[in-house]
Amino acid sequence: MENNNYEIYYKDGLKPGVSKEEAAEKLAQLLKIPLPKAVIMIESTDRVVKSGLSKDQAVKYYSALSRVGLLVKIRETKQQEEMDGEVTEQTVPNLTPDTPPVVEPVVRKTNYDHALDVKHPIQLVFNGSGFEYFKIWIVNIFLTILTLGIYSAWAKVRNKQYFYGNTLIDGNSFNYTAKPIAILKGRLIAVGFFVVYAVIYQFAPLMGFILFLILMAFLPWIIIRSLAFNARNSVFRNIRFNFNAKVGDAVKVFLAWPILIIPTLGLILPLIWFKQSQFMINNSSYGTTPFEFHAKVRDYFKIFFIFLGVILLMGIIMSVLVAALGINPANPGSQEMTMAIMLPFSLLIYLFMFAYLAAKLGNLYFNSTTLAKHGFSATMQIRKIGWIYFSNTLAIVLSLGLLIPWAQVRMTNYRVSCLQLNVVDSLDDFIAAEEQHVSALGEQVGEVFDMDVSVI
Amino acid sequence: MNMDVKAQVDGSFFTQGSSDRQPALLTVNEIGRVSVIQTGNSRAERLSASLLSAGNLNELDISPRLGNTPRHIGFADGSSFETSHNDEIDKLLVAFRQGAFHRFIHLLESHILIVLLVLVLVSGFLWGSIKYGVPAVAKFSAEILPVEITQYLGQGTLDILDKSVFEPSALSQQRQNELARKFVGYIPQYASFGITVEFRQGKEVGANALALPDGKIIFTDELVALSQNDLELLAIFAHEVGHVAHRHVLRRIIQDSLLAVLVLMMTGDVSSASSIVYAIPSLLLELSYSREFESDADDFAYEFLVQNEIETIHFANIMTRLMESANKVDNTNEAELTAADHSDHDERNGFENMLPYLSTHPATKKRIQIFQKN
Repeated sequence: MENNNYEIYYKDGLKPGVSKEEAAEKLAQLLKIPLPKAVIMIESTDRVVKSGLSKDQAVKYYSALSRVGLLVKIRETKQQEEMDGEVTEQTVPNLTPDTPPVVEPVVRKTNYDHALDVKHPIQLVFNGSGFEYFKIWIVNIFLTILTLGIYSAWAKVRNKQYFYGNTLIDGNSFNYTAKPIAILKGRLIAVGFFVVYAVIYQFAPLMGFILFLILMAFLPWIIIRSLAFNARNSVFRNIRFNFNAKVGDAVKVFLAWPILIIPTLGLILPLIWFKQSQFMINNSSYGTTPFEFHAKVRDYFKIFFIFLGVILLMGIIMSVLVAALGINPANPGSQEMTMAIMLPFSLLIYLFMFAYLAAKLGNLYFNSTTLAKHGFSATMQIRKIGWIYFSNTLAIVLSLGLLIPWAQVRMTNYRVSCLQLNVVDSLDDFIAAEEQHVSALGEQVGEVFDMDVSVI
Repeated sequence: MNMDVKAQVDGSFFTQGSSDRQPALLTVNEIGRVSVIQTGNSRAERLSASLLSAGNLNELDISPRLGNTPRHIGFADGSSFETSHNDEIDKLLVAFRQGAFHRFIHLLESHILIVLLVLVLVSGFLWGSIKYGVPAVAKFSAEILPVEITQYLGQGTLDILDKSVFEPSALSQQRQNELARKFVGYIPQYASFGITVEFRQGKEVGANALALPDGKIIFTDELVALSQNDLELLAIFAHEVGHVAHRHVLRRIIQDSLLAVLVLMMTGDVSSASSIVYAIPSLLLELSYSREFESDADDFAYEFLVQNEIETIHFANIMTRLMESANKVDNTNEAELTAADHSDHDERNGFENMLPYLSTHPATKKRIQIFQKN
């Protein structure tokens, strides 16, 4: 069962940002060899450093050498006849302090190019439970009321961390590290703005409107700050995420393009979806590694036209039904009949609109995103999303809001269960970016004015 | 060096600035010294073991307990240790008397009885604020604000109504002046509210009267036509003055805003459901607030009539007639919906200040009865 055909191929030298001295020191320590020898090893690129490994062993070697700073790849060895090249002596790296160094005759220099990157998909896991979250949620509300809103900053961090901490990839969870004090400060300032705005608007609507325009002008900046704050406070495997965008780009994507929605009667929507998704992903990174967005505009238009088509169809069916039952909308007596047909149909159409876009756009968003060699697969289904959304709404209304936490957990659970990370080799070689501080103000101002930036 | 181990948990270790994961063991000794070593070492070899990171417990950044989510422990050198053994970490924190605040919060969140108590308290608070708190705060705020503020609010409303729905009154100027003088004469004590009386053809609005926050009270020609004597109109005038004198419009604005804040605070982000979950409770609550204002204005009218020794039956009479004329239309199957039909539907007729006289719920009969017992 064990396939021992894997080998470690060292081709391209050191990782960017790693100096030869550093790497040589670490390698010398790791292999327990003298420093000059380590330097020579580092300089001798383009060779297989260890072969005859099982997949697991290969991953371990890969990790150890990557940690030192070497750019290595895992490959599957071909048949012996194909190999040629020199035989060199090589020391096996020490993975544990106990193992004595072993010297083996090893490695043939091979002459084939292709490297088989070992792909393994990892299913994301969500461990949250509605009941457990309810307890946290209700206590948060209670303490917020008790402290006249001060605790709301802690509540927000805890609520968010519940979802972060219960989302796992290969056993490790996300971590939301925002400091509640920072959020509190931001909120107080934002509330101040809001009160001034509300008062001015009531008594001098023109001034209020001007203030509103000024706020709109700041909107792109607020969005960027808010996204950056959240990104930099999101950590996975000790590496922070990051978000860096130019205000100009935000202006284009959130103000300029959307202006065209009405003149084009909505036809420009898919382009806007594309641009916004692209903006979000291309400006995001995990440590020093940027995310990349690979979708094409036509992907979005395809979704859009199918969407329109279905709505049109449903509208036609609805009209046909109304006509077929001999109902004349102009006749007041038949108003109830018309309502009886139109209401459920309209609800159905509305539900479909939401579920279709959430599923299709959501899937496209993840499927088009890559991080270095890794990618995502998203498989949300329209009818499942639609059903969850509908039953969530019903549950919340009937329970007078008590089932809100359960609904949130349920939706998150579904979305996470439809997401896979397609890892190539391992997730071990990401490097942290320099620490950057973002104040919470941008985010809190966004919240008070009800600007939640959501692209999927 | 004290070798006694206070706690030991396994987990993942990440070096500073790297996502490289190593299985590791975190040990804490009796004086709170924390070390992380690579797993695979037997106890005997720990002295020469590969130490990944170390620190003092009280200097580490330990994430608070939250349900059963993994714990993240940050070291000064930027490395991090992640473990799912929450209970052991908690015991450790208790032993070294750290993280009391977060332990307390977790306690509240995990004991079912505490949660039930919290639920009861929160529900009680919510109900109390909606029923009493919000209206009380709004009333208080409205009263301490100067009258001039309400004047501002009404400016322009009549212009909008005139442009959209009203037409100039068909009554003679003499008749208008007569009624206006008569009504305003009864309320010298409310002069500061700037109350004036105007008339319009109601058109779709039909037989109705409304009070604008700047003190203008509008009667429609249709309502005047429906009345059988001026005292009936006076009774309605009193009701409208009640709305102005008690600053109902301003209070309603403040209440609606407070309500919105309350609903938002409770529900937070509900992207997992339709925004209907905001709309429905807000709508229902605003309707109930409306009814409160109507009762209040009725009480004011009642007091006014009694004080001025006018029979309260007059109010009952005009209300009954309004109700009857509305029902008459309801029962026909004919096409043209008349104004009265409109006025007895949803109170939120699109105009902020429209206070329709009729609603089809039984409250109308009750309102009439109050004015009949004399």
